[in-house]
Amino acid sequence: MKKFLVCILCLVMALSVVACGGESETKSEGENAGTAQEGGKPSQAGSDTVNSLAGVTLEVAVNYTGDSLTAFQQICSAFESVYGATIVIDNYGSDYSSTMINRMAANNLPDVFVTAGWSLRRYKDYSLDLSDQEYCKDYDESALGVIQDTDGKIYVCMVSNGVNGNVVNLSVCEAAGVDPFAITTWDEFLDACAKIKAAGFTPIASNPDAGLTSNLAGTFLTYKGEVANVGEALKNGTWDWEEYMYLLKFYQTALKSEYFFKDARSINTNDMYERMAAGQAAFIISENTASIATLYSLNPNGNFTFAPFPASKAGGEEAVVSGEGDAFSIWKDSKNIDAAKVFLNYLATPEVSLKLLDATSRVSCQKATMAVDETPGTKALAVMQNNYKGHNIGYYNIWDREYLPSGMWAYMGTACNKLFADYTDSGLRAVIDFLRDGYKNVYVAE
Amino acid sequence: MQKKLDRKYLLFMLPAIIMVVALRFFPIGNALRMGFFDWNGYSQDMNFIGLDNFKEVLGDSYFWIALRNTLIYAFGITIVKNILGLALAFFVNNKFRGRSVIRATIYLPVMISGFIMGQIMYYFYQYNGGIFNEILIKLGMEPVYWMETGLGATIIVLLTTSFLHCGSTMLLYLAGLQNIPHELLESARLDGASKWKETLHITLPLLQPSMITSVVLNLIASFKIYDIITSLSGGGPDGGSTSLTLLISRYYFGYNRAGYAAAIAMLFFFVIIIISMPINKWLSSRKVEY
Repeated sequence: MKKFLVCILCLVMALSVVACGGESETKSEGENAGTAQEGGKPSQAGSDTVNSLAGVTLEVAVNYTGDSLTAFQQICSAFESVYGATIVIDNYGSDYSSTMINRMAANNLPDVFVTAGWSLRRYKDYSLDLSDQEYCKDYDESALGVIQDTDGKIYVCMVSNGVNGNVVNLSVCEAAGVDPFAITTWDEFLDACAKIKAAGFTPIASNPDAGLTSNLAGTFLTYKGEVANVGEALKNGTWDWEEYMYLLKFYQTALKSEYFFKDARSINTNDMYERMAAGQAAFIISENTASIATLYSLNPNGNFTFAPFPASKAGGEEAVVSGEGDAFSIWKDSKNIDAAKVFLNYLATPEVSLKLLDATSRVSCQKATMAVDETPGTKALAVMQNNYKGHNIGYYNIWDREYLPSGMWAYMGTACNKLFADYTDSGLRAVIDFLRDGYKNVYVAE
Repeated sequence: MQKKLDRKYLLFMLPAIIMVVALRFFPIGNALRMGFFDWNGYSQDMNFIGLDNFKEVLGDSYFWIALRNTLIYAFGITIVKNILGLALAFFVNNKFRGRSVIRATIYLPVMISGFIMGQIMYYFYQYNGGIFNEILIKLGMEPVYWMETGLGATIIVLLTTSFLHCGSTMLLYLAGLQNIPHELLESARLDGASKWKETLHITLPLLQPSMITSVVLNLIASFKIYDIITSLSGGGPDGGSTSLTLLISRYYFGYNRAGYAAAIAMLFFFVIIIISMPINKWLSSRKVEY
């Protein structure tokens, strides 16, 4: 029994050490010295900036994991070694949103934090106006559409866009005799699915997720030349969700025709990527450019491309949507506002932001960086633009961030699950009722 | 003199009283207060709406599904874990080569996060290429979509949690078995009692304290089940395997409806009280005398 208890205690201690290592991290200068070069020294860091922030500790909250977290840690280490500041990284991972909600409720935010797509709808009241910063003058138009408030203010330093569309397995399409670059409407997409299924593949690898019911909704409801145009009603809270049936009917056809995996309702995201990479499926609906890098890491010999969302009818606009990617705000009540501004300026320099983009596979959004950006996300987008030359593609802000109140994303996720569970006509009606009620709830709460 | 002594004792109790009020009564009171507001969880403004949240919860089908699942998890896991833990404790209480390794192996999953164990077990149950279905196919049978329905997913979560975490129950029973006085068992054997009668009339009755501890601890832990559901079934399909803790978290942090989530939490609190009071009364009436 004694031996057994000793074994158990040793294991518990070992696991505790490992577990504790993953949370909040503070690096001493000694630890930083070796990694300074990896993060890249900013071009404007002259002799007057060296150790100019000695003694300052910045708390930075992020939601990075894996390679993205490693890259961000290296960037912070390099910043520390140049400016002499200490950066404490709060890595909340998948608990980021809930932790930040608690910190907002307590009005006690980190000095710098990732906005994860919500710089305006959720974090604006807690964020410092950064409109006067140099990097704000360098934003591409596509970025300004995402982060600029109606009064022209900008509350975020955004070094990249998160770009969303469909992902295509070209090898599967070729084997099934489908030309994915000829697809312009969702009806043509369904025709391609029929051919792919007939060739023995599963057409769509997606699992039920808010992205499926939200990110492409604009191609039915709000973009130019689509089957409905309800943008205004959505924004002023008067929409009754009836036109949403167009999108639900599209999924009803796909589900009835068994274009998804039989166990689509319970596939997790890793499994979805694995099946797509293994050549079992042809499309994933609503993915960002980063998933191309994930698929190639799972199958280096695969052939994948990024694609725009098709239009709801001929003559409608295909779409690529983008939202905040790597974007950082400063807490307006931070005691280290000046140091935080220096940190964000450092992040915005092309050589530093490219290090981050290389890991996150997002797409640069500042003109200076865009001119030299050859990271995977930007490449995927460039390849798409080349493959879909001649298509009528619109570039829009991510749909829910533009048209829906904060809190609606979870309703969209639940709605997608409901849809996959019951795609009969009465099931579709239940989804619409659910979304209408949810929209009413969060619109009032907001 | 007596009054002075009482005051002195009260002073000694003060730190504990402060802790209980600050860490127990205040959060519960605050949650109850939040239940009367329409609040997104982070805004500095809260809108008083009286009992509206509580009324809405009672008409929410997801609440009733989650309540049903929570009760299934709580009682199902407690029963299965106790049966398994007891059987394993009897097994590893015997002397045999490699006993320590087997004990450690059974206990090991308890120390690993439920979230990670759920991720690992996902690859056992998945329809397409899952380990169980691969075995069925090898045996010439049709693969089974284990998590096709909410009830199916709930049972999968229940069994997985019970099998993975039965090590802690085993440990409690093992300690109980090792505390049974040897002379009692020896005298029974001298009186000609069979192994079965020895177990039924001596070992099991004397294991009652361990059983009470195990039932109470497992019931509390199973009411709070969260992480393994998140990674194994995600609460799906269509909320069919969601527990109340997961539902509260979804409403609070996902839907930004903190007031509504607090109302569910308070109803959950009362459900636990209603269930635990008779159980507690029954268990405390059971006494073991040597």
